Amino acid sequence: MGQVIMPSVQGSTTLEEVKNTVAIMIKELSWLLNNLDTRNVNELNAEVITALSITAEKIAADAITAEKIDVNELSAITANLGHITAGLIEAVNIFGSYIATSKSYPRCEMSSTGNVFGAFSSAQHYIAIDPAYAGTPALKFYYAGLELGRINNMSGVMDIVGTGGIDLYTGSDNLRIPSFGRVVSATGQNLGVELDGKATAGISTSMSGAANGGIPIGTVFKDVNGVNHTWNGVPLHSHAQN
Amino acid sequence: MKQWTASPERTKPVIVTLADGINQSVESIEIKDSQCTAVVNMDSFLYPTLQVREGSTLFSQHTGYINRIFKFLGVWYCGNARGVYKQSGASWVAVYEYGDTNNNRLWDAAMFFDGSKLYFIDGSLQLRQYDGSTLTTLGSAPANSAFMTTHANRFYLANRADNLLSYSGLRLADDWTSPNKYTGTGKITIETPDGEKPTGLVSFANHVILFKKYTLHELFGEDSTNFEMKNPFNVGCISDRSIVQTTEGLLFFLASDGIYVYMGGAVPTKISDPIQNYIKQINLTYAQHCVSGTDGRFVYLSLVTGSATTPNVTLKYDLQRHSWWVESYVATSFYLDGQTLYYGTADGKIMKVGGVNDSGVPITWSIETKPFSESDETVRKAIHRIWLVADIEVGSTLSISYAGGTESGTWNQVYTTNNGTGQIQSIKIPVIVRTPETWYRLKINGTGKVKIHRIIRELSRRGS
Repeated sequence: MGQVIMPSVQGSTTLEEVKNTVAIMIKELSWLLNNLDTRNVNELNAEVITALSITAEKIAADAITAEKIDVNELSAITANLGHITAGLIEAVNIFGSYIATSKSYPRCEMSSTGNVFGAFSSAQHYIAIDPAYAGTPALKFYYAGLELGRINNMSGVMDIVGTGGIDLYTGSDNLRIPSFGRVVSATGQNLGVELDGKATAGISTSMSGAANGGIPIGTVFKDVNGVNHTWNGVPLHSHAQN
Repeated sequence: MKQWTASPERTKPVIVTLADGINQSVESIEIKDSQCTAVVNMDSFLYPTLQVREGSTLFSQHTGYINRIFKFLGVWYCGNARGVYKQSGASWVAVYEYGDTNNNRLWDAAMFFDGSKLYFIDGSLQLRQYDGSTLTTLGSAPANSAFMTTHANRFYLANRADNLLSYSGLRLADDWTSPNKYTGTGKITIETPDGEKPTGLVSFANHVILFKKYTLHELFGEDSTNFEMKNPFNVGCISDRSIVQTTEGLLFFLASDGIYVYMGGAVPTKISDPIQNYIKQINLTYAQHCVSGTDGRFVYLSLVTGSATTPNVTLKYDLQRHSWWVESYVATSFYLDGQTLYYGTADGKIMKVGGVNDSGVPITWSIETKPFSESDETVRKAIHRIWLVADIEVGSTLSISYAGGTESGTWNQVYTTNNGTGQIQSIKIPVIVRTPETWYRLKINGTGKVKIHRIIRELSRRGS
């Protein structure tokens, strides 16, 4: 209800005018009483407001200050809090489907799906922990969106997998393992090549080593029983390699 | 009135004034002695003196059926059956003009807020805005609007085809789409069981009033949160152009059964019983052409009666004396500029009221009294003398006639003068008339400016 203009009784000089004035007042007051608003009410005691009747649309934005809220734990507020800006969050337990250190890269992410944790320099370059790689956790390394390496224990032993090879940098001397057959030192020494030049373990050497032991072949010796034995020397022989 | 005395007095003087107007509400013998059964071109402006009405002069000659006159930014405008025009020197320049002529093209116009913009419609033309030089079409306004008014910083429109009252944005006459519930636009539905559609719209007594043929609806509130249309009275209006407000805070409007006055509170009061013979003849098919105006003292009303399609009779109502008078001219629109009334005519004239004649022609006037019986219908009377206290201007004429009976009959002229003196005088008219019946009537007529203060009749019982 807005402005209510009541007729001036002073202007009423005839009975007809008085009747008209009363009629105007009746209809204006009837309207006023059915359409009261803040312009027509000086003060309103909250006791007359029906319980549970104040809806959200009646509350202006930024109207409720923190001191007006009395709850022991914010968990009393069960609604989705939506977009929250906070300076500091301290908590015993925080559960969330997605937590990130930044909206842009680089950042770290925690997620309840897919990779539970990841560190990203970009969307294509990152490391991630897969909680269930073949049933066991695995640490995966991605480059340009492609998985290039992985550490896992799916087989009960520690597996270090490098697609396209693994470089081990030791500081003083580095080791690259492009493939099993190629372990290369920083100076270019190739372990395969070097091993190729070594005896193979478990493989017997070729037959060799025949010798007379310093006793000419055909020399006859008698034992204590007087039996003769003819010296044939040491024959060709081989050795098993470890 | 002096009654017959018990003594055998032969004569008695009877003094009457004649300035209480025409009265057709009851039989002629029942009306007051100061009322009349017929009158033309006289009024009660100098009550109790009866005088010939003010004259008029031609203010401007345009063309066609002038159904709207107004001023905007100090310039005269008028609307006729072809378009809306503004005065430029001695000629009229089209603001908007159709290619054809249609007498049913009735213009409504209003200024908004500070009066810097003019808005007009005719029932089919999209709302137009005019600032004195540029004409703009307000395309978002409701189409086919026929009635407009402004109230509480909003513009209101209604038309003859639906039950909607549309309101503009707050202080925005060109905003008819904003949805804001406080400052925005909207439509209010006003339905009535009789199926009638709006016939008029006006802002009065702090409310917008929408009329239908048989109902009056008042709008309460100021925005969409509290607008409420109430229907306090089953009195309607048959012509938006008949709605007129006076400076005394009265609203006059023409309903199907007569003229009503509304003061904003009590039930509208019908005031047209004294002219009911005219009201009964209204051609309801063309009732929307009936039009009213006021000069502050009188409310003027032009009716479309009989088989006419545009106004063919003009009457006026004395706001102080509550009496009705009949004019000889026919006005088709009215406009009060200051204290001067202007009216349009069906032949393109815009007349300015004032002076003692009509464009130099003396005004022809007449009045017929009720049938007098001097409260005694048992005897016949004889009129021995008539004294007329009157002020007849130089060049004006006056004649007195009488007739027996309550109606019709032959008028017998008993006095005439062709030139007045310009002074108040008591004119003794020595006649001896023996009325053949118990009733007799007087007719006074003439030309030019005349003021009749009173009539004194000297009567005697015949045979006494």
